[in-house]
Amino acid sequence: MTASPTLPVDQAAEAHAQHIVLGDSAAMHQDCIAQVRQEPPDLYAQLSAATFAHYAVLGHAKIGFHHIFRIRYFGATIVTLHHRLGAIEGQWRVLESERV
Amino acid sequence: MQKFLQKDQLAREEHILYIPAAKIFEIRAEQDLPPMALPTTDADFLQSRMHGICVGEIEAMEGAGRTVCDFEDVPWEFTLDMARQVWDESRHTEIYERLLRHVQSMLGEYPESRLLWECACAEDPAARVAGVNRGLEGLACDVFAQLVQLAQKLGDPIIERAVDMVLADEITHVRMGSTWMRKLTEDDPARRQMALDFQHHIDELFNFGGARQDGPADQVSISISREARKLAGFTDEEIDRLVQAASASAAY
Repeated sequence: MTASPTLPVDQAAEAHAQHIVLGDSAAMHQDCIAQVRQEPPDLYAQLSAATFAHYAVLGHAKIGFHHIFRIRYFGATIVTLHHRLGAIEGQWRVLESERV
Repeated sequence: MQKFLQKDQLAREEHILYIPAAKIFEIRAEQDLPPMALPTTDADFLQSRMHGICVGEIEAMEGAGRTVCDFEDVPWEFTLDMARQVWDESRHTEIYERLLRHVQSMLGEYPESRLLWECACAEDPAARVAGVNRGLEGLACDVFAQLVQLAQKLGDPIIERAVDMVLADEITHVRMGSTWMRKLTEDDPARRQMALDFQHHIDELFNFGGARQDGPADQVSISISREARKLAGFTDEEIDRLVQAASASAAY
């Protein structure tokens, strides 16, 4: 049995959002599992190329033990994403991100 | 005014996340969870079930409202009954929103699948009342009777009484649907059969691949309530047919 994450899941989601706003591609990828599901398939490549000024967490819903956050990113363009986080080996990791 | 709205056209506050049912089932399967929450597998079964019902009531309110708007060539009394149903569903929405708070949850804590709304989009008013009032409100009879039993076991009179009161309304909605399905299809057996086929399609969809069963309230995801369905006017033959279809769905 793996340990539960000590960091609250909403803080993990906000840290990921912060990495996206900062354009910190390495941290962005570290937040995610290696086979993170993306919709569109090159979502993270698009996010790395974009510039955002800030973000807002709009919603947070649960499906089983997973958590889905709706986060809007504001910059030259406005993008709204759903990020799905799950506990993997004691840490919250992004399992999936999709544009909505 | 635009008629026959699609599911992505429903207005919602942004904290309510729309996620299609198939996707929700897929995410639960990834976690080795059954498609729908079970009292035996999900610690937050009560909260998630209450939430599903609350968004279902919102969609039922919108569905009845759209029926008022979508169909002009129907008897005035039909439109009036649908308008009355909007009022009932809006009251149910308020009751469930408060029940959610009672169980330390809130609207938006779980996603909304809009599966009920999809079922409220038949283009023939007879099929619409067959699918919504007989199919979905019949489902509500099952779900609410189960919730009343669970509340009795938990010793929670607030949930028990509130849900029992809503159940009484749902029973009248099924009866109203049966009356209008018959009236609107008088002298047109083919149209009546199409309406019934649509209802059976809805029933099958909401068997959720075996989640609805003729079993104990605290062990199955949705237990078929013979008592509530009989009060709603379903015949023994209709209930037996549903039980058979549900068990066939489980076998499948």
